[in-house]
Amino acid sequence: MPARAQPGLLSQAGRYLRRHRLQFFGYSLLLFLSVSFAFPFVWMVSTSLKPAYEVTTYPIRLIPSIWRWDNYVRVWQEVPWAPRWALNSLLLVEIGVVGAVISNTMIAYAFARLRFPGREPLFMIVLSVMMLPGVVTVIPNYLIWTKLKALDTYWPWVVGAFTGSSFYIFMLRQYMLSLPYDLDEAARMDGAGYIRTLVQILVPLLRAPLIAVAVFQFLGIYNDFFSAILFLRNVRLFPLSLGLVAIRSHPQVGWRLELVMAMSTCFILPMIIVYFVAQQYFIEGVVLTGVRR
Amino acid sequence: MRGRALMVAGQTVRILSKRGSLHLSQRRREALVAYMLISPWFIAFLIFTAGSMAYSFGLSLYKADFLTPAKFVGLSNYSRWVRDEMFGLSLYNTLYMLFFSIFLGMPVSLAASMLLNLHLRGITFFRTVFYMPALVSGIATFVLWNIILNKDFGLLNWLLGLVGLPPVPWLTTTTWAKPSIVLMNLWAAGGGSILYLAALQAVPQELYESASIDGAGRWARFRHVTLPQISPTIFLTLVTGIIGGLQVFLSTMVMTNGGPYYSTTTYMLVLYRTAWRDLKWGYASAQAWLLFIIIMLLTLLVFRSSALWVYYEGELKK
Repeated sequence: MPARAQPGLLSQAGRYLRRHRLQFFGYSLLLFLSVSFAFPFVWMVSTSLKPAYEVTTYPIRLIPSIWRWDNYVRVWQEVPWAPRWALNSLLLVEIGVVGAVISNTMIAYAFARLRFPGREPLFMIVLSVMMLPGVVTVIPNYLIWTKLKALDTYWPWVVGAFTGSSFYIFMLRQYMLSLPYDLDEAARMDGAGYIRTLVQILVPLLRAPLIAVAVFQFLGIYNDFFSAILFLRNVRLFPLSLGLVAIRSHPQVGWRLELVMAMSTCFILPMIIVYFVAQQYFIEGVVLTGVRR
Repeated sequence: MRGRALMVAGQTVRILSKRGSLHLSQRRREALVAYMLISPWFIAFLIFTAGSMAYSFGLSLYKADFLTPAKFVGLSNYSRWVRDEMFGLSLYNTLYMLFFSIFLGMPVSLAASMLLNLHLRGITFFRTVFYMPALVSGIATFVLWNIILNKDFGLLNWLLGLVGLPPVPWLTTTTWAKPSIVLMNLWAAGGGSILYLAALQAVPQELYESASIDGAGRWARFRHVTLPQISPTIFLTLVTGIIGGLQVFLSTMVMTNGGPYYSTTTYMLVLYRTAWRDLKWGYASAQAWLLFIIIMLLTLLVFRSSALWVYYEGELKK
């Protein structure tokens, strides 16, 4: 029996890599791209923790020499109106999410479960509005709200939230169509009216899509800056999104990048948290209800 | 249907009104409830969508600043605007950024999604990281990138310095201002990869297997199996990208405010200034409608061309 030569360590490693070529290539590319995508965030957080004199030094130190956690406290103390802005955003988000969940469910229910003349054409309108470029309605909407004396109020947001939105109507309707109609009929047999059927029978089954609506709406309202800049002139009413942009031109605070970055990080954090929490719900919702879309 | 008809006949509803009692059939009652439920949306549609469109079109035919009496000018707002130099410039800027964002962004998203489709351990972590920029995108990222692109102490120039390249005046020169915005969009392109990922996972594996059996290499499999199968998603991304891209506004306003010497002044930015700064509401409405027409035309073009390259499962070939 010929003796087997013992392969050297290097050639063993080479063979392992060659065999798992795809994994090696994939992981390295993934790692590289992940670092590229994540780097701005890393820099943002690192800048936010730096003492003021270190922020604009060149070459850049990624790790702050001292970790100034108190920057995060100082943001709320020294940036004028910052806490107020955060509360405003909270209010707008609450209004937006509650309104969207309630109104879109009602509207989608009508389109998905009820029969009425004009249902198809009306739904066509819903669909076409979804793709409608906003440019052609921005100016008149602003003028209408101005004439209604709604500038520097939150009325535009309230009305927007409670009147439904094409995308959510479409999404909820699609989901509802997948729920068997027998549920409605059984409820009808037991004497339930249409609204009762919706609230007591269907809504409990809509947990997953409703959470999706809530999350999208949260992200949309929280990030929204355009409506704020159109309708709000009074600094006290700014949401955090507008405030973040506004302080850059503030004489005392705008140039202090560590504070601006701390505020940015604070601003971004809720979005990431909401995303992670909602993700779990999605999975849970699909598993528990067993409904597959 | 017979069962339902019996139910309808057997159930009438009495509603007492001032004029006595009203008998409503089941059908009528259902329709009434439905109309009530969708009324908020419909009323808002009438006022803020249909009404607004009519209002803005009407406004575009006038010279109106709401301080002096409005003057009817017919279509001259349109002809004046088309001949304005800002029309060509802003359209060029907008199309420039749109073009590069789409034609560089889509391959990036697609490649990223193919990477994310690999069955490696911990792939969910990578998917989250890739999605982060797009998830968080918006004014926070504009503010962030504004500083990253800073010539003197920005992150990007520091990275360039690390590899020995000279610093680039990203947002302060006309050459680099638009590419900076495109670069920022590319960074967020990872978000689109999630959409493509879903499409990729829906491709039936048998297609790949039979293609391999027929001798197709990796590239051929990509071209003849992957691409056609995900073409509907590409189509959707393209259409929404065009509609959104032509209306780009916030990034340019927040980051460069129209850029060095108008190099990042987009169409919407001009519109915004015409209306809110110069108070030329009629003129701005004409600008809005013209953009609307341009968007519609481009979208129509993509729709028409889609017959050539979009493949739908189960479609009958002529």
